[in-house]
Amino acid sequence: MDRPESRITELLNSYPDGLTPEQEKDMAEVYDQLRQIAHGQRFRVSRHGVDTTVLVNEAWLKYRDHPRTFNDRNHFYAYCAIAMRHILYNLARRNRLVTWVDVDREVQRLPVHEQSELLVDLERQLLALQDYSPRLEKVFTYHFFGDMKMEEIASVLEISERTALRDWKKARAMLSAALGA
Amino acid sequence: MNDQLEAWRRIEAAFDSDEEQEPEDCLRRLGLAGRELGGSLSESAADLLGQAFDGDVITAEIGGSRYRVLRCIDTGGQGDVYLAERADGVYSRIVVIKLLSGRYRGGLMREQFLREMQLLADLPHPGIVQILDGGVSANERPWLVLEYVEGPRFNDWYRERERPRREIVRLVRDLCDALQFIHLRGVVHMDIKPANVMVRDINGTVYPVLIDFGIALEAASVREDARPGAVFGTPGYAAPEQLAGEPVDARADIYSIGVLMAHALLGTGEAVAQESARESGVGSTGKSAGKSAGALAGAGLGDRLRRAGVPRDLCDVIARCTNPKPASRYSSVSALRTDLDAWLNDLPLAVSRHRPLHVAVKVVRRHTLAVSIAFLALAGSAWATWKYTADVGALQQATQAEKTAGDRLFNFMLGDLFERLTHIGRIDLLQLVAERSIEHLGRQDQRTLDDAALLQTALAYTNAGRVFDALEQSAEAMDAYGKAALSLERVEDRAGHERAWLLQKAELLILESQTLASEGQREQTGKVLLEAASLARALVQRYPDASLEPLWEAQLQLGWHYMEYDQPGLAEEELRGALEVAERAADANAGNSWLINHSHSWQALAWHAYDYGSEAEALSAMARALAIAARAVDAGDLIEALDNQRILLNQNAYMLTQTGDFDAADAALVKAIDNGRRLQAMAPQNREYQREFAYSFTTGGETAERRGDDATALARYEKGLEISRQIAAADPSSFTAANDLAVDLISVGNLRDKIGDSARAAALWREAAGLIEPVWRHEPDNKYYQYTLALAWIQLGRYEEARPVVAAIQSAGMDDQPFNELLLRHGLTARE
Repeated sequence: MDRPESRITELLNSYPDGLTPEQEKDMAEVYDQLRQIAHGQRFRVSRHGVDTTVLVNEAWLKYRDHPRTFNDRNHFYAYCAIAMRHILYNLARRNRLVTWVDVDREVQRLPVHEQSELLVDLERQLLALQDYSPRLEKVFTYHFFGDMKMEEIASVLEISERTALRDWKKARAMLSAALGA
Repeated sequence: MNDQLEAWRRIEAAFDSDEEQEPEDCLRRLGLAGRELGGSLSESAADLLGQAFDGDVITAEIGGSRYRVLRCIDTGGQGDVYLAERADGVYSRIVVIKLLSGRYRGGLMREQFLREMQLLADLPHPGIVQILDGGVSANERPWLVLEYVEGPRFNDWYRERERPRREIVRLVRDLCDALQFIHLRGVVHMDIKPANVMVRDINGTVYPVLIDFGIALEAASVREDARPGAVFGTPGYAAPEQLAGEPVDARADIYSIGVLMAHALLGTGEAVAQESARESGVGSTGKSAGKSAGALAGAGLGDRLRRAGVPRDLCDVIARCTNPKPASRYSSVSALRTDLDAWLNDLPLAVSRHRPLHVAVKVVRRHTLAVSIAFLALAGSAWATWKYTADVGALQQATQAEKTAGDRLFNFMLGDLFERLTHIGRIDLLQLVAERSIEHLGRQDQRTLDDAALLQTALAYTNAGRVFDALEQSAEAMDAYGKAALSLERVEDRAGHERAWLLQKAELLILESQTLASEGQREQTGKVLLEAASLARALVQRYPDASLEPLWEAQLQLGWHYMEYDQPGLAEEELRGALEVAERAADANAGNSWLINHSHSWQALAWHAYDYGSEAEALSAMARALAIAARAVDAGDLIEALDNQRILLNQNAYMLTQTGDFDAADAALVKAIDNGRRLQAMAPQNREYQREFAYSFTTGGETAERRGDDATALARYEKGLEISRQIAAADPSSFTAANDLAVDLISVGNLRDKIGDSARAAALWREAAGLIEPVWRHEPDNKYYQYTLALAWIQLGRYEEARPVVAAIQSAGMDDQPFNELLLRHGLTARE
């Protein structure tokens, strides 16, 4: 498997507005941080699942102690969302590639495998959406993968909160339709 | 793609005109199909999220990236359980990871855990969850990786909807297979309950899979807060001795299986079991609380099962499993399995079987008067004589040394000592040795044995089986023989071992046939004996110096077998064959045992002639048998030769009596009685000898009576009666002994009546009737009991009651000459 740093760099560079080399370096740190936080006992898997908000917030609290390029919390969150999207997409893709030794149809239908299918399809549609409207794609990513509030999204994208909410609804309906087609 | 762009544009336009609507409504209005997409990652892909961020906690703890956690299945006192995938390269499988709560501080505990885990890893069985990996983490937490079993837990399965009893019993039977497999390897599960059994559906058939081993509890036991000797197991399911913290063995699992089956049949679950355990424990304290709880839970279950209409046989099986005393339960899971299998096949069960007709093959079976000599009764009493204490002492020493010894010692005890203990009638001394031997063998891993060791193992199982058979434990015997056969199967076709294989297999089959015969399995017995004969023949053909004994034995047994089922032609052929073998062997080797075998061959031919030929032929064959038997007595090995000669004399006397030659018969019996006295001194505890001895007196009484010597007759009858009383007193539960005693009481009564002592005669008849009537009520179709009962009732003038019994005797053809004479004397009608 790739080193996480190289993957996150590749992903972030695919964004048209890009990051400064410092931000890139920081983002790689955030990526590691997210994983480390997850290793802490507080985030143990439970029946209730992982809470993304807590995860990202924790990452920010840690990051804030050593502020560097991301002085704005909302911008930090936005990049966390992108990192989450990337982490999960890679995992989902890997889950699909695996050849199951115990070919058991019941096992193949485990939620985690259905979810992997969903995320792989979603990533393809997100790239299409990015071509159609980069803003819609960003609003969706920030809210869906980063649990950001509309207010926070609006501040990052410098749009009104109402527009952010409308964009979110649009993007969700459009992706839903694309995935269901 | 253009369609999609078009759709997206329509969606965008829709929201631009009405931004309040929800995405789902929008799609519906536009007539677009949509796939459900939640509002956030935690909503739509929680498991994937868990896999990404939480899996690593676990995999980091268990050291490495071989596994990726998919989700948490359970968290609890014992530890945390995760569903995970094994992720090495592109091939993967779903597994279950268990991180146990206990921690191993000491190196020794750690060693023990790893050793036990290895043991379980070496238990590949479809009915046992497979352990794939395991270890102790850096945090000193033990962890296990187990095969993922798809399917409901047993309690969910049987409560999901009402399941047919047969299906439940079949599942429990299959569970016994798995348990037997682990017990034979010295592992006790210790926590059998419905929640620890998964039901796996394979192509529409369900199979049980045992999960959650005692090992898990063992691991939990080293939690810091656990006190030494802490108790494990689930209340309601765990055996009383387990709850009391006493050492447990496989029988603790048998207890739990019994409770599990009861609840499955009742459709009740774990909670109920625990509740009934608690309820019954109320009022008692401390250690005894656990004990009584288990026992009472078992007792209450019995009532509920009967009320629920569970068949009596199954209730009996459960009652035996859940007996508070381990010694009163099934001695092994295989015995339980045999009973469940029998129930599934509508066969009688060992648990509810009375078997007075366990017939010793070497004695005659079918004659009314001879029947009393045909039974083996081996109940032990406490005497011993100085002459044979040496054997017993050796056995005790051997029993002590057993802890460290291997099959060789067991084979010495079960093989060499078997012969000697048979003669003194104390096979019961070998029961423990046989059980230990089976246990000892079970601990060996068959896969690690070389060919020689496999042969040794087969021999040990064979010897143990023979002991069980002699003790009338047919299920255990057949089980041991089955294991012997499995070991032999693995040596079959090995070039260097053909000779040993042929010999052991033939001997095994002959022993097996005896158990089958005692169970009345006609076809199986014949089949097994034919195979034994064919192997034994191959043995002596390929290896001319090999033992002829298996061939002789197989043919002789086949002869008896064919006679038993009235196939005189086949019987004679086999008996002639046996005689020929015995003559050949006796010529080549003047050994004493072949003299005895030789006389046995003539004895069998004598009975064949008696039944299907002429009396003269029979008597001449018997004379040859007696001549050879006398040579055997002169040659030494006194006890067996004397016994053989005595049996022949008794049987000769019987034939002579039937032909009317009472003088000759009397002479034979005088000699038989003399032999009997010597044998009694040598082997006072041998019930078979006692029985023969009594028979000499009874038949001797008859010959004396026929010769008009009533005084001698009475003395002999009384002596026979005295011995029968001893035998019956030593084994009050034996129907056979009761019947024999009743027969003797009637004989003495008849003679007393004849010499005018009618008061004492009536008392004796009444005693006889009182003795045999309950036995007959228990087994109303047994013709021997019918016969005895009819004699007593007729003599007592209870003609009305006797009428149906007499009719049954007549229709069975059991109405012999003395019986018909009695009917006529009482003015009743004899059959034409």
